Amino acid sequence: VSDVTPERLAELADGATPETEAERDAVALMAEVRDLAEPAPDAVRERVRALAAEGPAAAGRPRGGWRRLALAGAPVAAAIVALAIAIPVLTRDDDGGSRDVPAAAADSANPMAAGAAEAQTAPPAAAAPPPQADALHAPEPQSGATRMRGDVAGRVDRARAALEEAGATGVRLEGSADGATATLVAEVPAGAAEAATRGLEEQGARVTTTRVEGVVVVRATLTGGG
Amino acid sequence: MRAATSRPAFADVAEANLDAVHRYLVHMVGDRHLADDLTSATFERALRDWRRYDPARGRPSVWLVEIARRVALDHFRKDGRRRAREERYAAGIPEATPPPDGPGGLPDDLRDALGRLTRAEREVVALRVVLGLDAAEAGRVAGMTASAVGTALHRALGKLRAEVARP
Repeated sequence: VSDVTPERLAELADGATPETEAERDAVALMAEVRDLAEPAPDAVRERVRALAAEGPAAAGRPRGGWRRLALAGAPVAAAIVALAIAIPVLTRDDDGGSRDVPAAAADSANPMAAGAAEAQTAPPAAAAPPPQADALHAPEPQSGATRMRGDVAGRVDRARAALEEAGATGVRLEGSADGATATLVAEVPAGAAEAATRGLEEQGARVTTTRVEGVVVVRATLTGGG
Repeated sequence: MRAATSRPAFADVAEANLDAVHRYLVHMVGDRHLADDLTSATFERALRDWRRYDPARGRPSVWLVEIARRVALDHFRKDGRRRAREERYAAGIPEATPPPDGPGGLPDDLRDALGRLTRAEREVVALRVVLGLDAAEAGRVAGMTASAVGTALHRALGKLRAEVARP
């Protein structure tokens, strides 16, 4: 064997045909070593077969399972924290208007329901559909006022003044995407609702009101050319 | 993008490679009964880690032998600690190392000669000669270069031939 180089021995181990006596001797020695090996005992074979048949549960818990759990749980935990922060902020933004908007929108979309909404004694939140159902007045940020065109912008200013004169609070402006329609929403003390409605109608606004716990939510829609 | 490689069933892989793993462990630990236990432990660990096996990275036989090696080395480490503990209490009493035992009818001198090789040499003989892995695969398992595997095999077979008479 020592007459065979390591490189040639490697070739012989990989199955090359021996050419010299020394190579034949090396191959014979390797065959002897190979023959020495016995198959695994039946008991071991049965144990391994049973293990394979039972599946991974039989092999116990994988190592590092807690690490994988932590990795998988981290995004979920982060999402929960983000929601916990975001929900109060979003809820605060919606207060004072959006819960009432759908009721008003339903009024204007369905005249049959308008009177019923006024007469309803149940709290508006229970009767109102979710805010996203308001397809007539998709919420716009305050900067939507800059997109108002022509007389709408002027009438909006005057309507806002009329509302403030009537002691309205929480006045906010919603606009349509093209700037041709603007909607003012505000809470007016019950006693001043009539004056506020009159002032708004003078500006050509279509006004709907909803009574909510001692205040009247006024919704005035101004349309270009109206 | 890497081409998808089909994934065999664990039961099939275990059945096809059981003897190879057992033979490797017999050579590694030099004790057939211990090799039996370590073979079972190897397949338990392999089943647990089966999801991590990537067919694109190598044959299942190589993956299994790598696991068998870790199982054997873990055993040696634990055994080394156990022996150290025992030696502290029974200093001076040498512990007999069981010779590798083989099947009847095969040359005892070859078996004995194998037992006298270093563990690294026995491992290379097992990987290259008994299991038929190529030099790169054997090197990957044993943590050596393919060239070092060739040198170790040459040295090991030289020692065996020096001790065992030609038939």
